[in-house]
Amino acid sequence: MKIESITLENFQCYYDLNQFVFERGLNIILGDNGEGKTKFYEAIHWLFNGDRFNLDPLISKKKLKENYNGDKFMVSVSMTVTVDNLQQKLKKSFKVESGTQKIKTESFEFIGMSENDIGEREKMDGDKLLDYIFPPQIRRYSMFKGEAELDIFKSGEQALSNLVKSFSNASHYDEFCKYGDYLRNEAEKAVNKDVKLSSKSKRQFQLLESAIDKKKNELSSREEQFKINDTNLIKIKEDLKEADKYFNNAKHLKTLKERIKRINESISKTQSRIVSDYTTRIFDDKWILMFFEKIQKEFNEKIKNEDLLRRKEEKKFNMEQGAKELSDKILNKITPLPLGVPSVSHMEEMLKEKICKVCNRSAEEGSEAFTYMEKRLEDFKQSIKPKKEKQREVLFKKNYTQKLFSLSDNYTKRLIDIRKIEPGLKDVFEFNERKNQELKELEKSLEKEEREIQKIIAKSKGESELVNIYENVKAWNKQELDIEKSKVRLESEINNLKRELKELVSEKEGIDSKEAKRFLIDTRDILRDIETIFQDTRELKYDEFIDLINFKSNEIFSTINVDDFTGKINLKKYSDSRGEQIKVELLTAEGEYENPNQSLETTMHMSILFAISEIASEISSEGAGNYPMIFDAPTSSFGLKKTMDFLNLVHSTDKQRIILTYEFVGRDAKGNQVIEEEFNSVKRSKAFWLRRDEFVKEDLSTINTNVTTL
Amino acid sequence: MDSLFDAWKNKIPKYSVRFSDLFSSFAHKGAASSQTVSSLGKHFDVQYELYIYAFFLGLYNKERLPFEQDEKKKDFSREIMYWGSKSKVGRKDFTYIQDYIFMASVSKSNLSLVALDKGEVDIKDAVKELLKVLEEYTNGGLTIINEKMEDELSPFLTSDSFLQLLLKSN
Repeated sequence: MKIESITLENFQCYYDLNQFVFERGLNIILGDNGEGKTKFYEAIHWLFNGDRFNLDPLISKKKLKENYNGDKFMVSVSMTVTVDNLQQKLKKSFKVESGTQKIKTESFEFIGMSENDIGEREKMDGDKLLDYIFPPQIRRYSMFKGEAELDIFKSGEQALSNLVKSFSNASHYDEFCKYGDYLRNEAEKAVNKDVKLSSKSKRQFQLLESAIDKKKNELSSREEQFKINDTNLIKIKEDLKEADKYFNNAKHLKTLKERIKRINESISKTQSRIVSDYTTRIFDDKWILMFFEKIQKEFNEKIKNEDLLRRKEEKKFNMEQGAKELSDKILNKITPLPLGVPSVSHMEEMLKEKICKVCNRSAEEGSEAFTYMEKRLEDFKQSIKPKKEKQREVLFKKNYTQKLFSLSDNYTKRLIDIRKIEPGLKDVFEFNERKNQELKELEKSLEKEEREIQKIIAKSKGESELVNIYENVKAWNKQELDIEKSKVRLESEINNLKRELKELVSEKEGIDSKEAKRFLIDTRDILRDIETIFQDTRELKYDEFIDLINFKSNEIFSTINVDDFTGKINLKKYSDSRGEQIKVELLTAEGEYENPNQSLETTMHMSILFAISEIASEISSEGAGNYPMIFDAPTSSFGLKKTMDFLNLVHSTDKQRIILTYEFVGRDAKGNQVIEEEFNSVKRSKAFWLRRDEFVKEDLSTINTNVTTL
Repeated sequence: MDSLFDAWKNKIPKYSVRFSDLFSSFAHKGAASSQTVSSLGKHFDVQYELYIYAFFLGLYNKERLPFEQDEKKKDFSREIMYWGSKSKVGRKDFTYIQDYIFMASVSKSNLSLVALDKGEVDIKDAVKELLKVLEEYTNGGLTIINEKMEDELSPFLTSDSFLQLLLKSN
């Protein structure tokens, strides 16, 4: 069987039609975390197993948004395969009608289209066709998600019985064993019946029989308890082993989270230091004045000129005033007597008598002499009164502009501050550039650490599970101790019971031999032997099958194990309360290799799976031969180099394998996704690259995965 | 008797209503924390900051633009004497700016200080002349911003847009 193509239509992040056309051999689908690898895997899983329920989450949000007005569209996953050169097609689909209030899904169907020998195509039930082209027991060993799922033999799985049922012929002997058991039982009953008829030992026989039954019940109960303990112990040991395996991952996760916390702190610190309030600083840091020096000089010049003019005019005015006063004085050439001469009483006497006694002439009232004397007397009286300063005439009657002169002086002194603005700004820009560079580096490291976390989570069972494992370890350790103690006690009890039972049975069989008819004893012994033969044969076939898996697994293991590990895979049978189980172990010359690393474990599981796949194709009754296998992120723990070696070896097996991986997707200096050069040296039949369009984190309707064939 | 400066700083200069959109787009009317200013596209904490910015932009670019005749004008009810007073946490006082605007207005005006002190020019007319200078350079600066808005697609998106425009003035 070969998968020719898989088409996804409006399925989750795959908007519209996206077709993957596959080749025989190794097909690699590359994609960074979150780009749609797992959604592709889930699409195939849905095609094989999905039912008509809970369809809403499968619909492409982008398509949904585009058709919000009630238009109908299809969501489907289809697969075209060839089996014996005939084309078969499976398609699972449903119709969507989206309104503003709710989404309606309808017409769910799973149809098959089968081509017959004469080239005619026939429509049939999808499930029927699927089971024909890809039988369920084979599908179980064909699709794997993550590394953890590769361990198909871990406890709790019915993988072994399924496997044996599907591929080994040991199961053919089940019926014989059942029949052998029945016959032996009947023969024993016949012997017992015959002995009971004998009166001689009847009483003793009955006592023995009852004692044997009692012991058997006791033994069975103890054995049951022992098995339960054993199952629990195995489970606990596996859990502890798993916890141990994840311990390093959890530790690494913790370290990474601490690193991320530190990076985020540095980012916010750097961001807070980057100057972004430029407009505010235009004012607060005086950047607005950066080109003001010229204006300041212009202003100073104006003030200087005004000052000069002011002084000139003032001088001129003062000179004019002085000259006027002087000329008034020169015009009155006569020097008058000092005021108060003659005295006030003489002057008043002369005025009263109307005679100037200085020049001895009459001075009639109104005459020039009388008026002169009157003025002299008045001038004197005024002169002895407290004097009022004579208001001197001034040119500048106002004083509006005084501040301007001080402004000019003060701010000229501060010109140095303005001159510092430009270099200061340059410093700010340079500082910001440095900080932005730092920020870019920090964001790059953050992205790197986050990718690392994704890798760890992909390798583990998820973040919360890691935490749970931690919490459970303590309880498991105590339980392990308790169960082991109880096991020792039970084991000793069982041994005692077995010994006692053996003695009783031997005693009873002694009576049988004596009392029962010979032919009945012989028949019983023969049938006992036949049952043993059936059981041994079944066991042998079973062992042969296990040996075959062991052989093939180790053959593959030695090829694909690119580490220097020289040990062997060993599938070991054991029995517990659930029946026969298989334990997978790695053996070295010194014994069991207790704690293989994840990558070695994955290689081991992969070898077993490839071995089963080979066996399946060799003995497949459907004649379909090889079956494809699909793995989602099977090599998360490998690292780039080992993944490359692994893929090259898978390619060399020439079987159809579809492997989804996040390896080989890197980032360039600008942070854009690129395919790393190393991928050129990976041999493959075909490769695809999944990338999402630019999207808005909060808006799922912007998510769309693009498929590029490389 | 007030000084010319005192008389001048009591006034509120005006701007053309053509530029009302610039004020509403780039400047906060009321109080806003300075951290959120740029993120909302409002680069200026208060309206007079844009006015001052436009004045210096016009001044450095020698863009003195008289108002058209009958041009409708408006102001933002904030006297010059309050410009630059520290009003928010995280901001500094920059009342120094009043002196610089005054000096620039005086040097770009035709006002004769001698005539003013002689009483030949009325103080009211002198203040009017100085305000005219302030308004006309601001008008020039606002025109530069407006033209940039018309010519380019979102020219003031980044936090350094206004600083870069100012830097280009030289």
